[in-house]
Amino acid sequence: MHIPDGYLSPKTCGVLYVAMAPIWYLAARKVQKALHAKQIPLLALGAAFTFVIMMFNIPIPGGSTGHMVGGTVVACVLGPWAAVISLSLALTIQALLFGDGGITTLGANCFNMAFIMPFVGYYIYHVGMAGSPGQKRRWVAIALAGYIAINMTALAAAIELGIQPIIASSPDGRPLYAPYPLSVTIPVMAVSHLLFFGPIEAIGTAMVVSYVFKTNEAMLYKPAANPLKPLWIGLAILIILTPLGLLAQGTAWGEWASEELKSILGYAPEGLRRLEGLWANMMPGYNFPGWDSPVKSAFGYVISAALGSSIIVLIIYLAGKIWKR
Amino acid sequence: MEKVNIPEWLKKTGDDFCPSCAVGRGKGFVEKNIEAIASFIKEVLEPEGFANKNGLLQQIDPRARLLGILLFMVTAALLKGVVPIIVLLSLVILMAVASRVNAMILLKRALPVLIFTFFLVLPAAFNFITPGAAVVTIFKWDAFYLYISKQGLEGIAVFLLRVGTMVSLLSLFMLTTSYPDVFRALQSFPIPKLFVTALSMTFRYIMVLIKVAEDSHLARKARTIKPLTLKQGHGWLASRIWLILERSLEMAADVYLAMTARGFNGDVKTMRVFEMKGRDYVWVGFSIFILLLAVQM
Repeated sequence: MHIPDGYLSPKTCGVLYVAMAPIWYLAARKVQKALHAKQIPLLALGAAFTFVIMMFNIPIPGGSTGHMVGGTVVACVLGPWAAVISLSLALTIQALLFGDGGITTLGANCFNMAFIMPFVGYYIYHVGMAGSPGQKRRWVAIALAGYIAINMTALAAAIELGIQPIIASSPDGRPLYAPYPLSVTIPVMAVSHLLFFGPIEAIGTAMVVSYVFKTNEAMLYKPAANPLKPLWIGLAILIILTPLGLLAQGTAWGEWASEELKSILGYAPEGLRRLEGLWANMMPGYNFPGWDSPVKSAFGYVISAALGSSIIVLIIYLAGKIWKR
Repeated sequence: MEKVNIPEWLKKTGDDFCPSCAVGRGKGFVEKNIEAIASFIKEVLEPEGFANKNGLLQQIDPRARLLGILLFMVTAALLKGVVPIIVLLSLVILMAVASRVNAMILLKRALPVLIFTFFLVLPAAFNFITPGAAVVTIFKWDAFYLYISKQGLEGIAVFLLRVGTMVSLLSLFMLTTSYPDVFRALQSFPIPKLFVTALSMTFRYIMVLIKVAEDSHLARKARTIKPLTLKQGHGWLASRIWLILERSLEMAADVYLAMTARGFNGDVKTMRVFEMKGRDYVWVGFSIFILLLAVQM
């Protein structure tokens, strides 16, 4: 997961350093506001803690062991913003002193492991913990947070490595940096993290955070405001932005109706035509029948998006209510 | 006299006597962690002693040294041909020799990354990743070809050489600079002081926390005579990680109080004793020159 020096083109390294700069700045500001002068020792000790738990071998079923990254653990304990700084410090020490990861790729590694990982882990953890879960649901919620967080981190690393042949190849087709295209990096990273590193992270995160819950819950980070608020705001923004889909030309790949397929292929498969009318939906084409003007159909999109997401949120909410244990 | 029943496994002698908390077969995680901690402490506390030698890099101001090394690393990242990178690598080796750094130790530091990278990029030599002119055809069946391409081989060579050069450069800097100097050098870069101070504190407290970890693992090993179940292993490890977390939070509060007692108010002030001399400017100028050459190519 730690990308070494020389794997990414200077452009990629530069872009990711630039992307991390405002995140570091914002994290420093947020932490300063919350902790004042206490910040330096707490961040340093948090980073030292991160470094030490990254070194531990965790036993996994079958007698083998593996390491965890611990981004989700740190985010649950210190909060996501302090985790950004602590993880960045730990990654810097690893790169400088122990040759784990690189200096030119530090921006990329921090973006993956010190930004994506704690934030994804933190918010999934809070979604899973909504309401007042029992011990079992808590364990599953924490494990799931660790699992999804490391997989998103791996996906980010896979994308960074996979775009190298596209952005940096010599004229004769020789790759200059990491040589594998996205079609190789994404499946390789996905398989290894879905099957091996993901479960280790899930077990490690769940065992540590649920232990803290049992012994001294006060050690966990308590957000001042509702931690789900940013997620609601994000969802609202996405719903409002859905009419952007109207600007796109054509139909999403693979989502053709039988007439469209007929114009593409020259014929429409018989089975498809037979099954097409099986379910008459309420809002065909994400709109109300008859709302054809651009403004009206944009409204139709927003309403469909709001309705769709409310149904999903309701299902998750009910599942949470039913599964209290 | 009452007969004492000693279980069979306790009578066994030999190397495999104590499975050291192994979960299942093989070396247990406790043993592995103790080894990892020991090699970590050895690496940190046993400096190779190159920082105090009177060599080329050691005579250059740590700030200028770091800047120059970073410029060389950017140069290595920009170079695209096999020959220019070999020239740069030779320059790095010359620098190491002039700084009286043992080439074997430099190689030892770069080797793990190089071996990992070698096996990682090996498939890229074949045409299914990098198509191009065939150098060695492995087999041909109907329309299906499998061959090693010239482009693939060159790509691998450039990639390995570049990674090797960059890793050697960073190792060379770390070998010729003492830890306090590394942090002092970082302070003169445009990085907020908060980060640099926290970074040096992080390094210091890693040593403290790692000692806590080592002690608890050794204590566990000493008390264990039978393999642990997975659940026991997880439970124990979770409790130790919790302990380290608790210690670190406590220590953060104590350190904060100690700093406040000494007048710390959130501002970081440092003593500056570095002074740039003529040769430092020459060194930085030289690295900029090499970088510009690379950009020109």
